[in-house]
This record gives sequence, structure tokens and C-alpha cells, in this order.
Amino acid sequence: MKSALRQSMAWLHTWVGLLLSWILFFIFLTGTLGYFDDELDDWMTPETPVFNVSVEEAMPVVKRFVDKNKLDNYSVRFPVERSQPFLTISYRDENNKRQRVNLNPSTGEALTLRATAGGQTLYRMHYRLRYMPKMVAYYIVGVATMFMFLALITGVVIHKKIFKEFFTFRKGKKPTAWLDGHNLMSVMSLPFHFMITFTGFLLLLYSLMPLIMNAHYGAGKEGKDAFYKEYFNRTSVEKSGVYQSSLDIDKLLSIGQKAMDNKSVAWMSLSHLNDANSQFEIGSVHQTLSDSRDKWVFDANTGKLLDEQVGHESSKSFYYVLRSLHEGLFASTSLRWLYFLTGLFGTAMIASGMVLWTVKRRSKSIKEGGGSFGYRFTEGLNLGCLLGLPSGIAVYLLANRLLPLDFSARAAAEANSLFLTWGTISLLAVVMALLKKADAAWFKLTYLAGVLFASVPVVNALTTNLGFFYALISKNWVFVFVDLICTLVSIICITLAIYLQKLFSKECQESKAVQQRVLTRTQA
Amino acid sequence: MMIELLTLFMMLHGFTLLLLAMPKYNKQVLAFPKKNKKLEQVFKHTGALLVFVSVAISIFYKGIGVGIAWSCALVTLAGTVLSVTFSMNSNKVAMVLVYLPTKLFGGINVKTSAFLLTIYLMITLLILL
Repeated sequence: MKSALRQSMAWLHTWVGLLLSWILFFIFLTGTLGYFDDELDDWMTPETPVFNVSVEEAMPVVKRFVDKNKLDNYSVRFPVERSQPFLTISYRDENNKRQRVNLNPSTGEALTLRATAGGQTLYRMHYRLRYMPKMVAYYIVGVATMFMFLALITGVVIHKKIFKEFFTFRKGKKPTAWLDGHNLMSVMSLPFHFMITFTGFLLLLYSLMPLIMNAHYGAGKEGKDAFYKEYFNRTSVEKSGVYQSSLDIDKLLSIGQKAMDNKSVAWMSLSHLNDANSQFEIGSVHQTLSDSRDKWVFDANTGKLLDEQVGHESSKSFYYVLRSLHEGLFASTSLRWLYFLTGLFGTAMIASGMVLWTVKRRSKSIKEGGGSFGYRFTEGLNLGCLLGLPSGIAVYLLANRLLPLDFSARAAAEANSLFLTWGTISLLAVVMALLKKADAAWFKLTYLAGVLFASVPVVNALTTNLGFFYALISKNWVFVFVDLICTLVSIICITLAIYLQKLFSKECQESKAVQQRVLTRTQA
Repeated sequence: MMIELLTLFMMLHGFTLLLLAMPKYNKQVLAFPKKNKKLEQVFKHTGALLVFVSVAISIFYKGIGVGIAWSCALVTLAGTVLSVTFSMNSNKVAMVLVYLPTKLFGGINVKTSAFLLTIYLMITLLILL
């Protein structure tokens, strides 16, 4: 009975894993890179200087800009956290259109950044996908997440010696090495995989399960807006039209800082200056798991505290904790690296599962002279996904440096270059696999990925003044690490390609020798 | 940074003791006494205690949520480093990780685990005080 259950679970694990592995690989890889989305943004806008300015030092620039443009409604984000490298002021212009300017916090000079998809697009791709409506993407990602959950649970059920084989890794023996590698990467970071899958699903909660929300607030956009406004305490007031003098912004900031009890200020906003309904809001930097969007609301005319949203009621606190765990917003640099590492483990777990599917059926397919159409097609898809997506990411980074700066659709072209590369490589891989040339495709495409990643630091050094050595001397760690990681990936790919080339040529010689022996015996 | 390093090494040594407590792995290590059930039991309990203390320190210093996230990440890092290096050269890895107590007590024995436990608890106390 137990054995039958395990067998059926193994079947489910194999096919559930394989069916959604391509989309899961995409979600995991882009999501993992998303842990450094802000750093990638910095890398993709090399003209942005690094600022080290406090809120107090940036305030004269804010006041100058507000006075010059006679702003009544505006919000300011200070350059105090990794997601905010410069001073940003958002406001509505005389035509009531939203405007946003990025300023040098020391001089007030407007920063003109190149148009780029940046790290944010790469990060958003892992749940928004690309080239499809938002809701369709959410449903696809939701289904993939459920399949991932199923694959994790069935994986635990079939792994009967989960503790005894915790440290097992038998290198060298081909199918067992892949199986051990797959198990190692799954079991070691199992808590992370469960957490990331569960919390990922929960983040799509309002889109995938809207019925309860609709029942209480009504269907459609209005109902949704009403729910978000109430649940997330969005504060907005209408202008009264009655004149009342507002306090000076410096005074309001100082009142806000006192109320924040020594927490660092991340942003502030002022609405309806010199109006009876004028409001001032201030928010803190994200530092712990559950302090998401802590904010304090004041009457801007009297300085009276109107609302304090610190911590949340249990259900919302639970949601914020899970969201923070998923996105790693609270993480320090070292923990962010560990998040990145475990994310890579998840990606490698999926990749090794895909390779394992091929390796298990390989000897049979060699005996059959190349295997069935289904086997070859699946191997081609696996190949295209495993090597096409990383190559696409390398091209995405290269496109940022090589596309002309005045090109109007620059950001979209960067994203398109990723998918174009991925699509081309996948097509090539499938065609080669169908023509029974999958072995050649494996090592040639691995070489290609290696060369593409190796060219990222070279092109960066040629097109910017932030090459590796200059970045190292000026302690610009983002540029140093991007160069280092691209070089490391390139070395891994090229080493792997050389290994695969040798392995396949040895296998080919052995297979020919066997065929020769059979032929000789038949003739004899 | 001290706490991060302490918990990482504590977990690495905890996992080493857990690994050496299993006959499947300890028979690959030449210096490990053969078929010594008592030693395996001691290593198992000490290893588990070191891992537990490492998680407790993380939670104490970083709070429940961040502490658990840290511990999960450290399990991944320490477990993988140990598994992969152990598959390459089990003797050397085991000897590097228990080098000092082995030199002091002339081989792998019960004192090895007592030594590691004492050293880590002392460092923890020093940091706490």
C-alpha cells in the first residue's frame, strides 16, 4: 500500500514538475534576480551618482523646488534606502497631471536618466510575465504556484530517507549524481521553498480569490478601490476651499520625526497647502518584518496628530509579515545574499529536475537511435529554457549598454531583446533536438551563454566609465559585483560546455564501438 | 557580524556532528571509531543541540521572523557546503572541522563533542555579557 502510494506520488511529482517546469524556471530565476532589483536599476542607469545625504541635508533642495513651482500637493522620497538612490518629488502640475522629478539631493540639479527597463521589469516579470493582460498572467502564475506546491509535497512524500540522506551527494555516477543534486538542493532549502511558494500564492490572493471581497464591497473596479482604501488605510481628503495658513514644512517635519520615535524618515507628503483640510503625512524606512507602510498623519495647519498607523491588526500584520518574507524587504545585505543563494537553489532544483527527466530516459533513447518524438521535443524545450533564459538575461544587460540613448522605445526594446534571444535559442534547441543533434546543442548553447555573460563586463567597461577596476577603486560595489557574477557565470558555463563536449564525444565513440561489434558479429 | 559568523560556524559544526553520528557517513571517515553506538548517540545529541542553540541565538538577536529567515538561509548554506565538500573528500572535511579537539584528545571521541559544545557556549556567553 505504502509503496503504491509512493509510486503514484513519484509519477505525480515527475509529470507535475515537468509540465510547469519551464514557467517555474522563469519565475524562480527572474524572482531571484529581483532580490537585487534596485541594485540592477543602479547598474542599468550608470549615469546616476551615488548620494550619501541625510533628510535634513536634502530639505533645502525640497523647499527650493516647492517654492519655485508653487506646489500645493506633493510627496517626497528621500535617498535613505536602497530602493531610493536620489531625491524624488511627485506632484500634480497646473493641468492636474501627475509629474515626477528625480533630483540631486545636494544641489537640486534634475537628473536625466536613460530610459531603461531596469531591475524592476526583470523582477515584475516573475509575477506579471510579459505580453499578456495582467489578470491572465496572475492566473498562469497562480496555477504554476499551485503545481509547485504539489511538486514540493509529493517530493517530500517520495523521499523516504529525507533525514538520513540529508548530506548525500554522490558525484560522478551520472543519474544518481543528478538525483542527489536535485534532492540536495530541494531538501537543504526546503523551508525556503515552502515559504516562497505559500507566500507567493498569498500575494495573489485578492486577484485569485476575489469573491469574498466582491460580496462585501461589490464587483468591479469601484468595489476593489473601496476595499483597498478601507483595508490599507489609504488617507485622502478633499480640498475645502477655505483658506487657513499651514505650518512651515521644516516645522512639520520636526513634529513628524518626534512622533516617529527615532525611526528614519523615508518619505513625506503634503496635501492642500494653506487649506482648512491641509494634511501632512510621514513614513518610516522598512526595517523589520511587519512594519510595512508605517505612517503618521497630521493636520498641517496645527501639527495635531490625526492618525498613527504603526503595526497592524492581526490579519493585516500576518499579510505584511508573509509579504515581507517573500520579498525580503526587511533583509540586510548579508541576508539578501542568502535569499539570493536560496533562490538560486530553487532555480537549480527546477533545472536539475528537468535535466534528470532527460538523463533518466537517455540510455533508452540512445538504444532506440535517438528516442521518440516526444522525448526529443521535451529535451529541446528543456534545453531552450535552461540555456535560452540565462542567455536572454545576458542580452538584456548588454542591450542596456548598446542601444542608443536617444532611442524612443529603449526600455521596451531591452525587454524584447530578452525574449527574442530566449525564443531564438529555444527554437534552435527544439529543431536540433528533433534532428537528433541535442548533444551538440547542449554544449554549443552552453558555450554561447558563457560568451554572452563574459561580454557583459567587457561591454560595460567600453561603454561607461565604470569598468571593473575603476568601480573597485571608487568602491562602487554594485558594478563590481555585477561584473564578478557575470564572469563567474561565464566561467561555469564554459567549463560545463567543455565537460559536456568531452562526455558526449566519449559516449558517441562508445556507441559507435558497440555498433561496430554488433555489425562484426552479425557478419561473422 | 559576530553573531552571523558565530551562528554559521555553530551550525556548520552541529551539522558535522550530526553527519558523523550516522553510520552511512562516518564509515567513510578513517579516524572515526567503528561501530561505536554510544559515540554516535553523543554526537547526534550534541549536533542537534548546537543547531538548536544557533537558531535560538538568531531568534534572540534578530527577532522571531528575521531570526527564522536567517536560520533557514544558514541551514541551506552550511548544509550544502558540508554535503558537497564531504562528497569530494570525506576524511579531510571531517578532520578540518574537528581538527582542534582531535589534536587535543588524540582522536575523535566523546570529548570532541564536549569540547565544541563548551567552546561555543563560552563564546555565546562572552558575546551576551
